Amino acid sequence: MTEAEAIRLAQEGDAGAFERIYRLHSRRVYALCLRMVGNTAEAEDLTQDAFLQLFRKIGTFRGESAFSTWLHRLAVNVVLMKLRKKTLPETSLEESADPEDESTGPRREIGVPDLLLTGSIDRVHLQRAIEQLPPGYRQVFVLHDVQGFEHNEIAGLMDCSIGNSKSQLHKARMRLRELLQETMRDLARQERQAAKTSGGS
Amino acid sequence: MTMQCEQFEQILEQQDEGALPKPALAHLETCEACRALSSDFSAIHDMALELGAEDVAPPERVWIALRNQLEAERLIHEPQDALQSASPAGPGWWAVFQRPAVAGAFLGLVLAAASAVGYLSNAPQSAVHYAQLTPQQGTSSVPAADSVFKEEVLTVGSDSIPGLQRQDIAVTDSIRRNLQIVDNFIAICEKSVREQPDNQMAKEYLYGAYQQKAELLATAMNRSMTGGLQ
Repeated sequence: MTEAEAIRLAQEGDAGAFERIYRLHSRRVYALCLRMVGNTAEAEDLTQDAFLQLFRKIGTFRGESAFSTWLHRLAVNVVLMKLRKKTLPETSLEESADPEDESTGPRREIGVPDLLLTGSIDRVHLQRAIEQLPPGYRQVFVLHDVQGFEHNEIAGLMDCSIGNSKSQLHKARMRLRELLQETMRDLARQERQAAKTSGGS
Repeated sequence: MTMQCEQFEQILEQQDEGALPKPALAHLETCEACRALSSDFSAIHDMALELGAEDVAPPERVWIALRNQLEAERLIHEPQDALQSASPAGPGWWAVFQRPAVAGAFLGLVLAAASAVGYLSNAPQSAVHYAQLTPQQGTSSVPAADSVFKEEVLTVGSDSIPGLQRQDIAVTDSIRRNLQIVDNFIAICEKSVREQPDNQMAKEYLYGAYQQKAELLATAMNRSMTGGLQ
């Protein structure tokens, strides 16, 4: 069954077609939800909600855009709506998302040599760092850098200005950079200790 | 006036896609810290793109819960063909016999037809003393009615059906093959019920298999009665 056939049959309520569409797209939707909320239980609920909304509205899909794009946007909307209902102060982009940060965001010390990340970080490190971001930073970063949304799209989805979206993204990247540099320093320290231990034995 | 690092950072923040403006590029040539910052942002962005390309499979329970909800909201239905298919091995073919009243009526009809042609008196191991048929010790809790049916129908092979052997060999072979298939399926279902006596689905499959054998035997008897004209 092709996707187009599955969509047509799903619009008629065919159970097999629904499952086909789910199998085709569930991985990507789940990955998006997981990265945006950071825990599996919530991601599972949001995935289910997203597909439920999709199947309720599938009769309105007319094919003007790619189905995957339509589904993707719907999933993002579901996630954002849920996050807005749950923790409004944390997801507001109009204030600092890090309560401990007294400035407008992570500061960069000018003149301090930086550890270069190129070639040193991998996906696991980055994923862990993303999970440590404050929710507002994490959402914008995931939408822009991971999922490929443009700032004007993010502004529309999150009900903020384009400038705000760019500002939050910049702060997210700065914070990620700090976290990843800490990770690199920790790894280097562990390697040195391991070298000492093996050298001394 | 040369660009300062804070200004460069502001440009980096506002820059979305495309190359940096010339003053920013000029600043990069002279500032190691800003070069490192720009390089790290690129590394993070590139790695994030790779993350975006990765998919993570949700647990199967997500689909199960979703499907239950869709069924509860009557948003989905099984295709009509699946309900009407009559494959002996498929789980959906016996759906029409799920109603106990329909199944019981069909069973009665088959037994009545068998009695009319003296089938019961010719059947091997024909035990007409239903009271003696009780589930054996150590076996699963197959309902008594099914035990009766099992005794009367399952011990019957196509050879016992009068007149069948006079029919077209191809038809006879086809019926024998189908009976063998159903008998094999019955054996599998019986084993499932013995191993999982509380499994209602296994019992339903077994019941359905009994029904199908009855149907096949009824077809065979019908052909023998009518000389294969139907």
